[in-house]
Amino acid sequence: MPLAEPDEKTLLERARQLDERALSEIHSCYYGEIYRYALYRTGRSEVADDIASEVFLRLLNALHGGRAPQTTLRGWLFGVASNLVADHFRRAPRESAELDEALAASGTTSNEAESNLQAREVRTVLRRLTPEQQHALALRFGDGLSVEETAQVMGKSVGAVKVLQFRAVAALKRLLNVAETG
Amino acid sequence: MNDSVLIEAFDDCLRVMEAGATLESALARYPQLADELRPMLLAVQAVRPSQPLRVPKQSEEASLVRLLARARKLRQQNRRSFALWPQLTLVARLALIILVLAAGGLGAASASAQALPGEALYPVKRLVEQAQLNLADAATHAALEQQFEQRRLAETQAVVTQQREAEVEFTGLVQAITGERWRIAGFSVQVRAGLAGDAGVGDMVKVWGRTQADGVIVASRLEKRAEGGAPAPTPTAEPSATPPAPTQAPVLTETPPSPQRGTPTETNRPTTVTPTPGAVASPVPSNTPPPTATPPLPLTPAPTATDHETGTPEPEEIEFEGVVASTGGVWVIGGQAVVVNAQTEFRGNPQLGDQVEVKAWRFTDGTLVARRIEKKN
Repeated sequence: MPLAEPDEKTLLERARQLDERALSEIHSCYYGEIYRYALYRTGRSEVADDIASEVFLRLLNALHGGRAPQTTLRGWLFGVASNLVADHFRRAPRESAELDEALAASGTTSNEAESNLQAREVRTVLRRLTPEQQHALALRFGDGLSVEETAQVMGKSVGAVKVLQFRAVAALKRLLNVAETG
Repeated sequence: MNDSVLIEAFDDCLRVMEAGATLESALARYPQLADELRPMLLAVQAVRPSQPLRVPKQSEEASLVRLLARARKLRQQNRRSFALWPQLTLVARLALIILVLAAGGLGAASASAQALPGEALYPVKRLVEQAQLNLADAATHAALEQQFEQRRLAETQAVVTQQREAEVEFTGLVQAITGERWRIAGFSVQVRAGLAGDAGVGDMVKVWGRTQADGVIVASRLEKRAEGGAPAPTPTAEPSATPPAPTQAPVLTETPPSPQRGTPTETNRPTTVTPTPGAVASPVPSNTPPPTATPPLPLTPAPTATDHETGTPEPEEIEFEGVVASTGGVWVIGGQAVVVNAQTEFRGNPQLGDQVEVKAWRFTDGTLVARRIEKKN
């Protein structure tokens, strides 16, 4: 559960002063969400480990340097996680190519799509969406956030997230069809 | 089919499925849209994990250990840097300053004059100020302190105007208190219970805090500097076209609010009491009953000594035009923070949004102190 706004401000102020209890509380509150987000998008627990841990170190550095966060803490953390995931894939083109090959080799039909798509293939398909669509689906389906929570994290209206989610899934459906024929 | 109907139906199906409904029962709610919704929902099922993703406890613990270790390291670094300066003897401090300047710090020190809290060169600016204070005699020291107090106010206003988060400190009068929200020197300050001791409305306080994007400053420390209700000092300076001398500076004076405020004749007649709250006198009339008297305050910008006395360069008189964006403790005009004080002359009752012409003193650190603000037609 995200922290209430006044609690969050107080915690951040204490964390900025390197208060260990405040840092522990923030970590305890958000680590699980950030880890699941990273795991959903990368599919590798060791990468999710690194990314989730790095997100909190960056928060600490940002607080100490007087820079963060400008929006909600939760949104800031997910934003950093998203950037780190993108960095990870930029640094790992080989893995990306392997996953693309795996997708191309798969011969699913539309009726079997839900059951036959392997986790790696799913992630490869997801990565063909726009960064914003990937972010939204990871929040919705990887972390299980509601549309309202996703809107808050992304700094968008609920209506905008519904449209974003719909278009992302529509694109996903098309990509799955491409995969079937490819 | 209208897209918005389909989008809402899709979202509704996701909701009921998240609550445990099957795909078929979700589709049964929208039989006329089932053909379009089915492949979409199948796609969602393909990318939604069948079980919530598990978070290994050891990963979380390892991450926390790393985080706290980094925090401890930063704390130690802070302690070392903060502890260094007071431990140095005067000679060692001077040697360090000379070393810093000789090692190329002159450029940084000069460039830092415009630096604001949170910027890379701001610590250099403060170091230079500290060095100036250390080298000053008693009279100059007081004048410099006043000048630096003005800088802190102008810096805080600039950071608030930029809607940026940064550590700030300033000294000002407590104007109002509503719960944890205080009005100090024109700034909205959040002061948590117990932080302020016995400070209250009318007291002069020094605030350390952090500006927020919404303009509120969250105080981390607050110290009372002077009680409200102390006898008001008599100003020794008459307003003039030249900046006040050092001995004339530490006086809070302000033109009493009146319908005629802003006329040249009146603004040239500062009074001895500050009738409206605010560490920096604001030209905006206030309905708040004034404190009965005002303690001596470091309010008048202070490069007040002559060259031969302190080596501080004389300020330069400048003129510019701009739109009034803020009239708080410090005015923001044309994007520039301008300190307004008792000697500032207002013409034409300038208000927010007005195009104005400003005549101001520009001090060596870039601080602008308004001599005259005139509304343009």
